Amino acid sequence: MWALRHPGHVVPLPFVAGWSDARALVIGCAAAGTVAAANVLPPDVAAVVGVAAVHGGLLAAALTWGGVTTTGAGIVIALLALARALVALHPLGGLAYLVVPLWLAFLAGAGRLSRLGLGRPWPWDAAAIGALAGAALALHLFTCASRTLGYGIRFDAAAFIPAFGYDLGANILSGELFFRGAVLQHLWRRWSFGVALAVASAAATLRYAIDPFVATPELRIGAAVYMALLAVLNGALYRWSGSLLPGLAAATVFFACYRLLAAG
Amino acid sequence: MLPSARGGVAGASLLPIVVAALLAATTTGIALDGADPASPFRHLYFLPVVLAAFAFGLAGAALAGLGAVLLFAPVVLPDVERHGLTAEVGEALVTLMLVLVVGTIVGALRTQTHRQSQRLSLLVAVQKLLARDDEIEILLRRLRSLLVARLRVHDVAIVLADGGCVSATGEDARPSSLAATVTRAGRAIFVADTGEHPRPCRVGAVPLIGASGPVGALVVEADALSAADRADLVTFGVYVGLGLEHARLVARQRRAAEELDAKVAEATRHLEEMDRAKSTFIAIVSHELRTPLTALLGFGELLATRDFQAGEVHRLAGIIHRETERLVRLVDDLVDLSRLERGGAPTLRRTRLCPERAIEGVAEIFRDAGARLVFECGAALPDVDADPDAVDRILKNLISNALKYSPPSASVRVAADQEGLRRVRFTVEDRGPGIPPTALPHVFEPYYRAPGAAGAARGTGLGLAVVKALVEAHGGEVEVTSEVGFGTRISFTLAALSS
Repeated sequence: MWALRHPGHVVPLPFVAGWSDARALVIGCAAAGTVAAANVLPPDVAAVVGVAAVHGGLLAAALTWGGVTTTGAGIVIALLALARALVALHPLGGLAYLVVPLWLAFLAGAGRLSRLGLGRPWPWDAAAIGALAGAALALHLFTCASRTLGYGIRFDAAAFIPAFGYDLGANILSGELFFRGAVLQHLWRRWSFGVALAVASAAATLRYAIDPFVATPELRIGAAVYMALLAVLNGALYRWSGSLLPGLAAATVFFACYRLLAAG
Repeated sequence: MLPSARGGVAGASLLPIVVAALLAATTTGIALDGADPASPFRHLYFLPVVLAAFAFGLAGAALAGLGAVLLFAPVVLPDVERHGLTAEVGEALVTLMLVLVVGTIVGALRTQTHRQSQRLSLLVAVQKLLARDDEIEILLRRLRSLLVARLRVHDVAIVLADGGCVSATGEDARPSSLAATVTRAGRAIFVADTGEHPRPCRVGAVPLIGASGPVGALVVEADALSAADRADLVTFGVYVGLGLEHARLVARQRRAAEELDAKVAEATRHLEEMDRAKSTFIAIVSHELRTPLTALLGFGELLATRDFQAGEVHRLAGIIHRETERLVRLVDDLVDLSRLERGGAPTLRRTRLCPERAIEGVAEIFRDAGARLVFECGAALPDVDADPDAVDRILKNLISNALKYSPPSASVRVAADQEGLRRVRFTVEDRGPGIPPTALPHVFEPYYRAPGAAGAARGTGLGLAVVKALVEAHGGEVEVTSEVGFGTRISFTLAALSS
């Protein structure tokens, strides 16, 4: 038992412990994201820089926090930039986003993401429950959007593939690994789970609330509400299962359904 | 970390389904009522939320309330989108707020009462456990199992100030460890995370407080330790500490009572033995007194009533003299014993005494024994500092005993030797039946007679007790060694005087 072996005074690790090597990388991403949001670049270039900077920056921060090397984190940024550039060339280029989850699956399979809550044994049962929860939230979104804004369901491969590819390869992974795997876990080690979840969920929601690429205030409010619900749901799933996999499943199902929504 | 609910609400496993069904039924009712935000069916949301609050506390109320909000949102939001914040929407929102507030209050109260009830239940269980009539180690192991099961924690250890420790692995607390620090300092320490596991692991260590201060520490490792959990732990520490101290006192009292019982039984047995020995002694002494008195009376009467020739008169006077001496010895022994039992030491008149002369004086008395007595004195023995009368009585007692218990043909050796520079050792050794090893420690006790001694020869059981008292009054030591079938050797030492 720990208390029978170790002295009473424990110095907690600094909140940004493990960041020293990746500090330049993360600061660079933040700067690039700012440039992309400033409308000084051509739209396609701004999109490439924005995806690589924002999602790449969050993923790089989470990965270095979890003990992955700066090179490994840099690869993720490069892959995201490449995928977004391919999308600009052709809608099927969105499939290139799938390389990022494959790369992360490889890292997780090798046990290099266990500190972030991704690793063997895989909780498939909990992942199925997460997927069901994500589906329930998506159903609610369908109901509200259709009754309120008159949205319907429409599948357009040319629109769906790059959008869902972006969600799968960048949006979901960066959100889960950074806000749950890194921020929530670090806060939880210091505070009670409720407080840690509230702060981490607020941070995740804030990202959508200030996202300059979300078109209208209504969408922004809606996005913030559902992202807050998804953040709380995934945080609870993380605490219950001890893994990010159920949260990833919930977010994947939710965003897949979300991308099927279309006005009119 | 909460004391776990045992039993809880009947059919609790079905309640989530009932709550979900009620939420769905209420929403369906509103939808069938034209999906009007002001539909009276909206008030039915109270039912599942309050039910969840009663069944599962604050968490249940929050989840059910969230469910109600999510289910009611598709009804309210289109109206907000189409007409803005109308009175109907306002009513709906007020109802929803009330549902949430009532659910929160009921849930919080239920959580609080549940916690108090479980805490009380655990404290009662702890008290019952510690009141058991078991060894402390067994009690501590059972207490640890009880706390692990009821507190919903990963692990529990109980560390005692006197060095004991009960943990899952059996390891002891290191002197510099958190548990040892809490035990010494007597104040609680909580650690937010050990940093050793993928998930946070909280540690709480609280002192076990007894009446005289900290008696140990209660250590838990858990997923969560809220402020209420910490306060509960501190309370448990006080209860467990007092309970442990009580259990220890009871155990100590039990041991003391057992020891006292044993001592009383031993004392009673000893008193009974003494009583028996005294009864026997009185019978023996009566007989011992009667024998010489009968001789004195008989021979005195003969001398008074008849005429005898001078030789015969001399012989009868000799018999009277010997019997009188025997009577005097017996009375002297009784006087010494009486003094010993009152705690007094024999009165001595010490003087310079030559050991050879002391032995020769006794030899004169026992000259009737003739060749049976063998006297050996070392060369140039120093004088001893002793009371001549006391030494005479010691030797007489030892020699008469040796003669009494030896076969008629066996010799008795009487010796005196110098032992070192400062002592002279007197030894009386016979070839009698010997003394059993079990009887050896008792031979110097008053009234004691070794098994078989009563049948072998007459005696009061006082002789050796008097010998020991007289030798020790001189500052000497008396020893006995014996081997059954080969004889007995009794020796004593007296302080030598420089020439």
